[in-house]
Amino acid sequence: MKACLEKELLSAYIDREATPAEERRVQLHLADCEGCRRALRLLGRLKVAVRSQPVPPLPADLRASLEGMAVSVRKPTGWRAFWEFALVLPGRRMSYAAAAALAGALCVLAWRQRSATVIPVEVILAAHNQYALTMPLAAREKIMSDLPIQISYGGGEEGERVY
Amino acid sequence: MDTSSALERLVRDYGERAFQFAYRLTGNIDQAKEVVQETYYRVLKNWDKYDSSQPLENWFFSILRHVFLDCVRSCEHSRFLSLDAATEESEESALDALADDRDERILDALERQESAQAVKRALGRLTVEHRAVLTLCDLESMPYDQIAAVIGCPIGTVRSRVNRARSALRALLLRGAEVR
Repeated sequence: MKACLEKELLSAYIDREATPAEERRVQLHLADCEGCRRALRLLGRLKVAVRSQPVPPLPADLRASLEGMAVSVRKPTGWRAFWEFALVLPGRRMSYAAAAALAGALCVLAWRQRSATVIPVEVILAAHNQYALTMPLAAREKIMSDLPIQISYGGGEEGERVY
Repeated sequence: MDTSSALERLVRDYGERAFQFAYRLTGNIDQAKEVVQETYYRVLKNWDKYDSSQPLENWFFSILRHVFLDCVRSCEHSRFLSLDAATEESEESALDALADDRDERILDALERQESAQAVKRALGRLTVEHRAVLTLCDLESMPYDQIAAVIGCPIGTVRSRVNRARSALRALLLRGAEVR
């Protein structure tokens, strides 16, 4: 009678991890050996017994905790990414730059408003008169233009200027 | 793949399996939760060290196993390990002497209704390394080369370790059957 197969070979055979040559050897031997057939049956039964051990499902609190961990490292996208970049990134450079740009725009706007409201009346009248002198006049206007033009500045002592 | 989406995938695809593996190793829900949590934390921390040419699964389970071993070392479970080591020695030496008819007795015991409890007790008494290879092999259905990658040892060692683990389990079940 042949010697029984090594247990390690039978274990590998049941796991389908034996080499093709080993498989042939096992199959040949099993045909004649009741002891090895029984050992193989036991190994198969043990494998099933381990596999069918009940295991509790993944606890909900653990799942939530793991998912939270994944979310905490998620990179933002779109506008969220832009704002986070602007507000959170090193030195908050973007937010400072945006604030500076906004302040500059306000200053320019204010300056332009200011200059529009303080054009001296002399300049306006001079431009008007220049325009009037260069334009061809109608007969009636010629007569009128011979008269002195007086503009009152509210009655100061010198109070009147003549153009 | 960025860290977040990889981690989300790991939670979705491996969360359940990781917990099962950890539960098999620890035999305790709370400890299994701690192990899984720590595993995900280490995955996150060491993400830049992951070699993407290797399967993510192997790397992940390898970390899980290391976390568990660290936990065993730090949580005063070494007592458990040394007891197991003694068991392993005695089981393996006794194993070769087991008569074939004892296999029949274990088979009978496995047929019984209460065999699930007996198997659970026996699995709990195996060494950590034996429990790990049996879990990876029988529960996760991993091939030996993948187990070798997870455990960090040659395939030949996996093959002999799986065999020794089964032999130890068989001996523990036989002892339980004889006590009855």
